[in-house]
Amino acid sequence: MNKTLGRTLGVGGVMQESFSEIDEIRTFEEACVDAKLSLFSQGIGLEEANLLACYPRSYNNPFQDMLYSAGLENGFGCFSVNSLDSIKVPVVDAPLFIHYHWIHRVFNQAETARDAVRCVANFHAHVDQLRDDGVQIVWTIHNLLSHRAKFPDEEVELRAGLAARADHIHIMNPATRELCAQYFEIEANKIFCVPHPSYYGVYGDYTSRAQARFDLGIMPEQPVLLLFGSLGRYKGAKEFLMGLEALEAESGERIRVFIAGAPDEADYMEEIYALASARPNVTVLGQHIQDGSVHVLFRACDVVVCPYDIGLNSGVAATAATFGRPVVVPDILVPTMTGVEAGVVGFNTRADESLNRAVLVALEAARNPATQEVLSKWSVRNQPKLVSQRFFATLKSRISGGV
Amino acid sequence: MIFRSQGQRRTAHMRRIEFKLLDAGFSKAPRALMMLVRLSLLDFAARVPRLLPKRSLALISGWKGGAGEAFVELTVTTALPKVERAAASIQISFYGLFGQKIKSAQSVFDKLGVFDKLGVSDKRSVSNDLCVSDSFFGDPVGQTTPQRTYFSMPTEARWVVVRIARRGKGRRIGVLGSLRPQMKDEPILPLAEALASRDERQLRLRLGIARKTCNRRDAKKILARLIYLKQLPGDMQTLRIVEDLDDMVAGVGGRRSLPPILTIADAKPFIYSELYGPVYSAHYPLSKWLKVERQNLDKYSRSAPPIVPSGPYSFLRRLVARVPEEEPEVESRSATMPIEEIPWLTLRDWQSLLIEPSDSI
Repeated sequence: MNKTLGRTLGVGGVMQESFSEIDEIRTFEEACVDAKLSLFSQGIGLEEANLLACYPRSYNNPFQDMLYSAGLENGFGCFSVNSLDSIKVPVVDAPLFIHYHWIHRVFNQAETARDAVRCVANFHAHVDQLRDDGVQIVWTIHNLLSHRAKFPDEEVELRAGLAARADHIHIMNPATRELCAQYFEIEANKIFCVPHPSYYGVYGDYTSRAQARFDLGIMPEQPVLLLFGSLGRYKGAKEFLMGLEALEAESGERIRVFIAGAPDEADYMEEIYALASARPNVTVLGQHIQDGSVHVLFRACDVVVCPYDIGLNSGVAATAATFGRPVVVPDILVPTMTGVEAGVVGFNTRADESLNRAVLVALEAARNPATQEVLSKWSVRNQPKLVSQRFFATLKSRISGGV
Repeated sequence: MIFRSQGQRRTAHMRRIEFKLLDAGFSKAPRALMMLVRLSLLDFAARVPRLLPKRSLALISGWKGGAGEAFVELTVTTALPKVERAAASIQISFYGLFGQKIKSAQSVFDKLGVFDKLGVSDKRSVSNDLCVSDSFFGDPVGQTTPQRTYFSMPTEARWVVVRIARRGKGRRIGVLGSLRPQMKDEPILPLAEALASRDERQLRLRLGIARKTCNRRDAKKILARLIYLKQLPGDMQTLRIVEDLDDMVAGVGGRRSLPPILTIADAKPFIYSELYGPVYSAHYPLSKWLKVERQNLDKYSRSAPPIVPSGPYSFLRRLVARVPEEEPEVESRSATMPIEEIPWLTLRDWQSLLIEPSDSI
């Protein structure tokens, strides 16, 4: 199966490379012109046209494609920019929105705290300049702080500054404002909540559970857990593996575990490999899983586990729901998916045994066909196109309302 | 502001890394010394910790020790803050008295078939020209441990060439230790030492012993270590097979054994004298084979416990049908004796598999 995943990886890699090259070749001005022409071809009049430039672009994560999928029909020409310096006042006559996502990337070149302080000042100055030029600032808060925050104090300052300057703040977890309050304040009137979309129609989904299990060498009756996504420390895979023996003792069954995602720090991966090497029921697929292979893993598993120590939103949880699989998430993430109570099981990150208890509850829920039905309905309700429409409709109503 | 190209930034980064090793006492060999090293006549880092240069280095050593188990011991240091896999590679080739390359393994242990008897082979790459290749982990500064690579010295070997290279151009690796092979009197290390070592050969020798004695507990430790070090699919599969047997014996998840065949008083006894499917090859977990064979048996013998006569694969047949062996035959064997038909399983294990399963893990 590794080889199959590897082959798929090659094909996907080429595609991603091509898209990033297109973004690199096209200048900001040309993107603005292209956006305007595309909007015009959709019958969007001059007064209704808006330009939305997002930064930074994530090519490994389809989130932005999903969020902007209904952009043109709602009067927004959305495109990405590779660097903050490339953003200029558009040559075409249309309101410009800059939509920030994972802003910690402004620290990419910073090696010391002093560099980081300078990066914060530069970023804030850049945003101020844009505001002076009449650009509206939108920010989607993905996390409280970035998962690998090298400069936490500076990052708090960065976020606080953007929260103060942004015109519209998009949140996906209703509790975002309260949770962020420990670090920085967000004015309530800037916030609008549109949930994380499901991955309905995003990934291929043609394999059956039985076929996926057969492909992965899983016995039909064996309980299977999936930990999906990049293998950073904050994702809790190591702690989960350390508690696996206790989980098996409690369940009385040998549980098959798949850990799939792009490797992170090499020394952390060594720890994961050391733990997994003694457990033949644990398979580590230490690579970015390409879109074409995602459904095999999700269809084969019974429960998806997100043993994160912290988080605000989870694309993995949304993916699990898309494939009708119950998901175990930190309590903080439970409110992000409403109407699927049985399918989303929370655990207390501070209580040692809470995670294993939640996994057992989720395994029980997985045996109930109603759980899959509820999750599938959530997935359809929150499919990307519908969420995108909600996002732009809300944004437009805020603009017209003069917020 | 000065802009630097990516290449320039990388070079500066590598220099910083190199300084870390220089600070830790590693040094570049002086030019005159390097000339001798390039002629393969000088033991490069025998006494002084040295930085490995870009090009590989070798040492030609005379060998009077005859055939036997030998090793090279080195301490390999990486400038990175974490352990680096395959930081340095080593290649050992053997030559006769007049410099002719030795073509095949001729060690005493090979001649005596020590490894064959243990059911293991030296899996490191061995070409027609006898040549052993291995790699060393690079340990971070201050956390190094000497590492050995073991190999069989062929009978005819009079000269040995040990070549070392750092893997990848961009790496900065320090090394301390002699490239001259040393003789090992005892061919197999004690288990604890083998587990602590990073030597594949010693671990495989210990694995062979564990297999001979059906010591699954040791085997699991050794396999876990091998999987961590080498990540070979064959080892992963063996660990699955061993753990599957462990689970069956311990009764994990109700997989201890198959359910007893239903007894119906007036049913005609069925004689289960030969297997329906292919014999268990021991290349995959036994529990899977049992389930399939039991499905086959159930098709024919649904109504009464079958009679399982002695004969070929009688252990497997009894396991499938859950019929214990007659007492006298069992008692004539030691309980810890391995069952030839089922690797990693002793007679005691087999007997316990026929007992009612428990639900405990």
